[in-house]
Amino acid sequence: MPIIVNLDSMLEKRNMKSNELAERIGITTANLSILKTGKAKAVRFSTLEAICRELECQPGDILEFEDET
Amino acid sequence: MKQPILLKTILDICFILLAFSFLGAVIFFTLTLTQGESFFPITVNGNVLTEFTPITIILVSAELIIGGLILYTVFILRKLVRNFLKGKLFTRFQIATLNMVGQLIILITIAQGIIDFLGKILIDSTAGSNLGVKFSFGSFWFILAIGLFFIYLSKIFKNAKDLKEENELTV
Repeated sequence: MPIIVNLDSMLEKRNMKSNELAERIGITTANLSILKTGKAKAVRFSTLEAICRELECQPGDILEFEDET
Repeated sequence: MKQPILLKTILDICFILLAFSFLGAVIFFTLTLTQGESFFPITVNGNVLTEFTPITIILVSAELIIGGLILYTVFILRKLVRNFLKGKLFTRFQIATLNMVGQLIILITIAQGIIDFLGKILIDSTAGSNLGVKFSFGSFWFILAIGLFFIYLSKIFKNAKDLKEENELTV
């Protein structure tokens, strides 16, 4: 998929663990793992909003478009 | 009684009755062929067979193969309904089974039509087909439509499976 999720690097920068973020934004660690590994088919605006609020970043810091062609 | 359980029960009864009829037909036909005389009246297109020529043997064998296919169709329909009762919907098994049932219904209907047509030509010596629409659910076109409906239903299930997967992978 040409959309890359840079959640790992953002978590590292903020020195935060995955399960901690999952708990703060109210989703399961399994779902956060789906998002981190790029297996997710869609992201709810509410989830994106919560992630941005907790990590103090913009959606563009987490999501990146890379053309595969 | 809930509808799925009633459906399961009806299919179970159908399967048991069909299995006994099929086994009986195979045994009687084999005995008739080996002994040379008919213990039980064997009919093709409503005509009782009195002598067994290679053509009638082929026709009766083809009817038996169709009987086997009908038995198999009811068997996989039973499996499908049992799978539905487990509660998990839109699985790969259900999609494949619905498609298979549809294909089998179409195959059986067309094969039956061909055998009836050949039976008319070879036994009655009259050419004709029974493709008109009768006032019953047993007409050729209606059963063909049911077969196509099962295939269409399998496509709908596949679509639903994709949507379900997408929903499950929405974070």
